[in-house]
Amino acid sequence: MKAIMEETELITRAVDGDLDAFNQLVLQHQEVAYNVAYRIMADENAAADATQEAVISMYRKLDTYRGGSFKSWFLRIVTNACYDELRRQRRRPTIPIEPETNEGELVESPEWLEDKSAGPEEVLGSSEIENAIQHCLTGLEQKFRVVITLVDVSGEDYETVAQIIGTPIGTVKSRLARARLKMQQCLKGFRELLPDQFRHITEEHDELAS
Amino acid sequence: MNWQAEISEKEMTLLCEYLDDALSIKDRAKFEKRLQQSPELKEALADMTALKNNMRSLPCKPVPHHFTLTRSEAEKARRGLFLLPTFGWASMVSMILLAVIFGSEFIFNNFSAPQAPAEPAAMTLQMEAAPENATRDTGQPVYLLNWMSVGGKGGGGAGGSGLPMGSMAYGMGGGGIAEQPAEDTTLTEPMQTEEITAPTETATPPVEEKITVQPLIFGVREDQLGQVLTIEPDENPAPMVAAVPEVVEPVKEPLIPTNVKLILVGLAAAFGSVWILLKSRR
Repeated sequence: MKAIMEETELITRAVDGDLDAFNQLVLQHQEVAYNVAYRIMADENAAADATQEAVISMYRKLDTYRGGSFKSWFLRIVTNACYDELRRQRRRPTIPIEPETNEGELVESPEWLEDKSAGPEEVLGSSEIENAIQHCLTGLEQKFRVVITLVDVSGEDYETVAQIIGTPIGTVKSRLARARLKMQQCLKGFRELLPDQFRHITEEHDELAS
Repeated sequence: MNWQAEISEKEMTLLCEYLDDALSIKDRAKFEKRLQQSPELKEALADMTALKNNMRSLPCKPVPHHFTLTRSEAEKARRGLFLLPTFGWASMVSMILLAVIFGSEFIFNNFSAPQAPAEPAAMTLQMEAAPENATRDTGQPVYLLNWMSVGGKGGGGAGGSGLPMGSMAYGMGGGGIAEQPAEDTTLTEPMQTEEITAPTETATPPVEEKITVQPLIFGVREDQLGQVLTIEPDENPAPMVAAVPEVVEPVKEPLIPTNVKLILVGLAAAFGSVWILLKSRR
């Protein structure tokens, strides 16, 4: 309750032009916004760009905020920024830079791209699942990707998602059902990569059901 | 087991709602009953639960940097915002004006009653004729062109000429030539000619007193039809030019000049482009 009151006060101050209040709101919601953007864009840099664009856009549109959940409003701006970014990418497809040796040969797995934060064995399990899910997510149509990301990754309820993407709740339900079906079909191909995860959960559920 | 072929889209939606706890108590009970009876549905639920758990277990990515705005970024973001509604409204007003102009012209051109031409199809006889008084005074020759017999009947007239009866110009036109019974066929005085215009509906018929000859067609006897008649022939007769009867189509003047329309189109396009540009940057 206190948090809600604080947020309302921050919003009021931000609308009145208080930049510090606005920045506090950003700090509160930036992580969820960035993660939603990352799952939709499937690229860290693009997700950061989209989130930054969304923050700037939100600052400009502050006077149009008409109450309700601030998080939903912010996520709506973030998803729109992602749509814009994806549209821009389609118009101007980028070619990844492939480093070359002195002899002009392409370097596979260049050292400067390596993630040195965690060892391969540490990240193996989680990164395989994550990569598989991200791969399947990226393969989904945008409208399905956004819905499943908001419901399953961000944990929003149907009504909030309907507000965020501006569609009726029935559309959210049907899109989510189709998105999950497609994801499940896609992940079937990764069962060998993720045997424990899937078996474990399936077995658990079978026990519960019986 | 391949449950995907067995489960309809509606069942899949219900299953998702059940999974996300979005069903009402009544619907939930109903679905659980069906779940007990259908092994396919049960398997589908297991797969969907696994999927959802996997999605939920995705690690939360730490933000690469804070997305807060500095003072200068905030000022930059606000800059030029006032132009957006200005150009939006300007574009809209231009578009509305254009729509009104084109709409009214379309209605005017297609649904308005045909107007009587300001100048009816006229057969004119242009002659280097002296003015009335000059003709009388100097005795200049006067030429008459007989248009031969024209089908139809009707009276020419001097209606609307504004001339006194003595100088009445003889009208001629679509109505044809009036045939009047007459007793005398002599032409007693030079004919006053002016530009002969077609009779209008309001043309007054020639006064009977004046037409005392028979059959006088524009003052010409019937046996003189087709001839150029002169009275007091001149040594150097002035050339006579008989104008071809021309049908003057009434030209429809546009309500609004084309230049104005073009300017409006240009303004609407310019304002609209700037508005879209600003909007896309926003």
